[in-house]
Order: sequence, then C-alpha cells, then structure tokens
Amino acid sequence: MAEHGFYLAMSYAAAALAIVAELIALKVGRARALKHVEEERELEAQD
Amino acid sequence: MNFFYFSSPASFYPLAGRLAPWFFALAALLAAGGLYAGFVVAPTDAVQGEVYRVIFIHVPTAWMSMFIYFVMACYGALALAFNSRLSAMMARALAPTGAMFTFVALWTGAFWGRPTWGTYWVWDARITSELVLLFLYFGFIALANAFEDPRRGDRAASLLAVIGIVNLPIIYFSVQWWNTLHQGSSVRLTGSSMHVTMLTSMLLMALACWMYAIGAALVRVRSIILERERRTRWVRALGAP
Repeated sequence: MAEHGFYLAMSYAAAALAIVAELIALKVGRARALKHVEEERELEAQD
Repeated sequence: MNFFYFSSPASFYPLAGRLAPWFFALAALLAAGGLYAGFVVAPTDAVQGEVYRVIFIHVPTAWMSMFIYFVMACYGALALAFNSRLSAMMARALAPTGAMFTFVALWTGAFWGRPTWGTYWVWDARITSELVLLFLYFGFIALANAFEDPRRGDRAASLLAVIGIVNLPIIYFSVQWWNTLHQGSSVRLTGSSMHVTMLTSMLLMALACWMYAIGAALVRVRSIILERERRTRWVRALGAP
C-alpha cells in the first residue's frame, strides 16, 4: 500500500473534499433561498 | 397514487424534504460497505498491486457523470416539450452534482494513470470526451444562470443539454472506436472480467454515488423551488420552510 499510498490518498481525499464542498454549497444555497423568502415576506408586510 | 400530483413544485417540495435524508443515509451506508469491501476484503491486483483500488471511486463517479447527464437531458427535453417547471428545475438541480462527479472521475483517473501509464494526462479519446462532458456541465450551469428571466435560462440550458447528449455514446464507445490508452470496459451487461469481491465493492460504491446524487438533487431542487416560487401564496404560507 505504501508504494502507491500517495495516489490512493489523493484520489479518495479529492473525492471526499468535493462531496464536502457540495454539501456546504447545498447548505449555503438553502440559507440564501430562505433569506429571499423572508425578504419577500417583509416586503409584503410593508405593503 | 397519482404521480402527476408530484409534478407541481408545491407538492414536490415537501416530498423532496422527506426523501432526501433517507437517500443520504443510504449513500453513507452503501459507501461504508463498499469501502470496507474494497479496502479490506478485495484482494490485491496481481498486475497493478494496490493502486487498482482507485477503481472503487473512479469507475462509479465516471458512470454517474454520464448517467446524471442523461437524466438531466431527459428532464431538459421534458421541459422543452411540455414547458414543465419542475423538469427544468430538476435539470438545474442535477447539473452541479454531475459536474462534481465528472471532475472526480477525471481527477482520480489522473492519479490512477500516473503510476500505471506513467502520465497524469493524455489527450486520449475517452479522457478528452469526458473533459468535454465537464465543459458541457459548466456550459449548462452558465447558460441557465445567464438570463434575468429564469424560464429563458431553462429553455436555453435544456437545449444545450439535449444537444450535448451526443457526447455520451462518444465517451462510452471511444475505447472501441479509437485506439486509446484507456482500457476497455471491465463490466458489461453480459458479464465481468473482475474478481467477485472487486465487482461487489465497485457496485456498492456506484449505488452509494447514485443515492448521494438523488439526495443532493432533492436538496438543491428544494432551494430552487423556494427561490422561484417565493412570491407564491404556498411558499409564504410555509411556517418554517
């Protein structure tokens, strides 16, 4: 395993990193959508 | 059960919210099983040694990169043909996950290629057409967000997705049509040349990627629905969306 450990580690670490990055992006996207819904509610409350 | 009931964003939104955690949980379980079988149970390859274990992430992500594009193009075609809002939203929701899998497939391929072929990259037909797939995903995402009116973005991006589907058979058959450095398929519908534990690990990982992709698309489509429908009564009526 040691001989090719670097290539295995780089492959699996990149995959894990990509998944974590996507999960964070999903969370950020959801928070942004909720914020926009809230802004819309406030706009309507003002009208 | 009337499935057309769930073709409306208002009906699909709560369903997606209930289903997504189950798909993520299934993905985690399958990935744990696949990695255990791949790293602990599966034997060392007689020719490549340990480095062949990249296969358990490379092949499933490569499969998913093509499969997600196919599903995305189908949703795009539905959106173009029937002007259905949810189909266009699903196509948008799938694109980033498809791009992520394509990137991982290319990256892991590079780190598998270096010790086996002696190079990280070669302009081989299979690898180049997979890179074109990544650019198609980027193009879809850019085009979908290029218009102020999201419905116009949907139509333009859907058209690109449908046209881009021509790249899928090129990726799949590239190893047969051209003399490539990339090896041919180890798994076919008629059988496999792999050891049964290797094949099981790879299929478990493929299922894990599949479940993850569905979970991620469901979470993303919920955000898209909220953004698009935020002026509608049903979204404003949501207590804690």
